[in-house]
Amino acid sequence: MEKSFLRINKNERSMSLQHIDLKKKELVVKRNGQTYNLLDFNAVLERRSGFTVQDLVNDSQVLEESLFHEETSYHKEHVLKEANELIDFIHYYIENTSVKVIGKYEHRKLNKLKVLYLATSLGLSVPETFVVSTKADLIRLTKEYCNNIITKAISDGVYLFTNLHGYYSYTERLTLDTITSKLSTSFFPSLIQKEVKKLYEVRSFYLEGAFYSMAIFSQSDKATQTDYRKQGKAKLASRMVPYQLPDATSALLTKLFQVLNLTTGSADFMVDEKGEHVFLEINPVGQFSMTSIPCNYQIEKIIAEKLSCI
Amino acid sequence: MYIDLKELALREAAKMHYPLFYNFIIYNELLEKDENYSLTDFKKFNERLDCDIEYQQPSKLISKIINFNEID
Repeated sequence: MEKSFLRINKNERSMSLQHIDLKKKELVVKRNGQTYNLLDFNAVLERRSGFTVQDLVNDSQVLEESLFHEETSYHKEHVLKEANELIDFIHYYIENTSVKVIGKYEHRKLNKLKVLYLATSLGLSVPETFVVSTKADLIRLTKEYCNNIITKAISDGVYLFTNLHGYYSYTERLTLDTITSKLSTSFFPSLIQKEVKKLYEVRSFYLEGAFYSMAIFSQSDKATQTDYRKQGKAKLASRMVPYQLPDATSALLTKLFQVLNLTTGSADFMVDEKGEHVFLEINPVGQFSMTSIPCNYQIEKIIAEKLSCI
Repeated sequence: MYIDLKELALREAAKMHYPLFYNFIIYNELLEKDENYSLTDFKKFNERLDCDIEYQQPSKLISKIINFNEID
């Protein structure tokens, strides 16, 4: 497979947008002294950000300085909105002039609650899900589900690196003790789910109708029981093996991807103690190598072949 | 080498303004840059990947080897 390609990374400082000409069908970027019309490419794989504000704004520090009288942030928000509008169009233009497109820029972010709602309506099993804002409601749920509830972010968790510190948040189990001793009487509306007592987890990468699934045995280590990303000292990695979704689950999940108009993404499941596959969420820009490498699926090769066969 | 994790303390008065998972944020101090280990910052064009690879030693090193069983 000998195909020329261009890879555009997030915040690639050596690349700059030269111009867009709608009539001539030109979207020209310059990188390392070489210019490319991105509309000349006939296949595209969209994953994560691609173009970012940093690719368009030469010195973002300048935006930190005040510009207007009595107003410190309007100009910054305004320029960033202008940049994001342009970035939206750049991706849209490339996708719409390409013959083959895998992934879409507009699908890089999904609403977790919307996806859970759709999954339920299609018949997938999902955890009992609530959004609550009072300690009284939490205590009621804790008693109803025998101390088996968890909380996690509705959007993304905290994953922040400052100059001096790294900050992280994960899925957390809430016990009656924790709720009564640690939490306030009321709080920002928060996502609560009944904890699925898992035999193992499943990560399933979807690509144009096919699933590449992996089972993750994360239950035996206390640190990874609630969130497998929390690796303990004893085991730095949970065991991961190739896996096949049951036909019924696969059919429902395919339908969900179709309803969401997604051609690719990663779905997360917990398999509970009864063997039921409980759907958790879809990551539309999922890291497929974490499934491809342990299971030897060679997904990157499959994607390359799909992009080449046009 | 393992990095000690600590729980981020929220002020009581602030707790009501944050989602619940903010009560469980953990953090660690990042390792100091080793001045004796000098990996020269440089950029190299990778022909196979068709993109620039930037090699840059961060001022604070980030390690993923952290032990979640022992949080202070």
